[in-house]
Amino acid sequence: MELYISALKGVIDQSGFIALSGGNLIMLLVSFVLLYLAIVKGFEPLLLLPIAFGCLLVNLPLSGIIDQGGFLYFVKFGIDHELYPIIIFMGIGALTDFGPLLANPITFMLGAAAQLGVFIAVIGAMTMGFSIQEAAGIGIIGGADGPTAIYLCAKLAKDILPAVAVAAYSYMSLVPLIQPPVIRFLTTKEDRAIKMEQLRPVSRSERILFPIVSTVACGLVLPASVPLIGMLMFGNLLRECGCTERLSLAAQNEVLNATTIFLGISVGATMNADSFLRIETMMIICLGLVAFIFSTAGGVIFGQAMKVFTKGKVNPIIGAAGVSAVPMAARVCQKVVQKEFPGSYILMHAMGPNVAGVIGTAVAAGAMLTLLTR
Amino acid sequence: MSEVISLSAHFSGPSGALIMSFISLSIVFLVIIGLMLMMVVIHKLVSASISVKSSKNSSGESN
Repeated sequence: MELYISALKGVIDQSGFIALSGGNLIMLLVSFVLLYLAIVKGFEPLLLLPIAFGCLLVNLPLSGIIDQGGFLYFVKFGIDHELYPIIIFMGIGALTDFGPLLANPITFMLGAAAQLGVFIAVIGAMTMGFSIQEAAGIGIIGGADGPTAIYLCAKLAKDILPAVAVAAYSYMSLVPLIQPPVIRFLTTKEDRAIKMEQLRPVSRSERILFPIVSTVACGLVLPASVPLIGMLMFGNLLRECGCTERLSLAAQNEVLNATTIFLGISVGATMNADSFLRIETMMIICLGLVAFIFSTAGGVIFGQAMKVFTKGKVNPIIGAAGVSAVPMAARVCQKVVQKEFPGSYILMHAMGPNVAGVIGTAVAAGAMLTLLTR
Repeated sequence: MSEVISLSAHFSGPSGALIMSFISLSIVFLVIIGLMLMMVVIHKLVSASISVKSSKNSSGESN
């Protein structure tokens, strides 16, 4: 009996209750809220759920899961060494149809204009006392591209990675709530009513040449963008070349899904109480929202300029799709238009700037990496 | 070489952020304009090769 009691005492002494801190409790609550948003509200569940569960796991004290030799210690290797974001980019490339962009290349510019928020947030972050490397990591949230945000932060500012990753994925899931008011504020009803001409068909040769040529061009101009752009285009080439269907399907499904699980859980694993519960986290989340709003605004304002130059042939709304939340931002544009004009379809036109935004954000990350690591 | 190594040191404070942002945004625009022009060139080349092929085929058929 004495042995039983002392064993029981030993188990209690080593239980998580003894080591549970107030910070752990708050982070467990955060993980429950994230799980609720993912499961009940359906906000980016494929990412938010692994992130939330990773957060839950690392805030259960004494498990050793994140300590040296623990499971998440090894899984986190993929984030620490920027492997997962790059593999995810390959999967995105395999899923992406560059046809709408190739059919209407001028919309590529909207993908550049929608990076405005990135740089507004960089200036804001510097004003609030962050270092230039941290400011770059915070600013990239405005690109609405989770993998790129993680990639850049892992390279430049590892300390703020959890906050940036959570902010980036949260705002990506909130695209349908954040973008419509900005779009309506910057466009008139007449603007939203503009019907665009049907896109031309794109030949197979163009689809095959584009990923090859753009990889070489970006690689030579901006070598720091090669990991992201190169793998994005590699994935796209698998899709378009017509002779690697099995690889393309693997990149789109098994590889992408498995990597998403490990990326999500690793991001969640970085959300321990000590590194997450700081005033900087709130500042980053606020700056991320500013970045996202200005990116949407930058795209729409450039869309307005394109409308003027093309004498009313471009619906400025498609500029909002220049942020790289694919295909959600394009769908939001379609929904905003269809709400007022049920017979109007701009989804395919919005897909052009949307995929341009993916490239634009990767180029912006490459540019900042080049400038800040020299 | 030393100027290149100390490039990031120039970007301190809000004015440094402004300069870095301006340079980065202009790089993004330059790269994207370059890619856009490349897309146009690819389209022209592919269209030209298709029309050359079709004219060869039609002349071969007439012979």
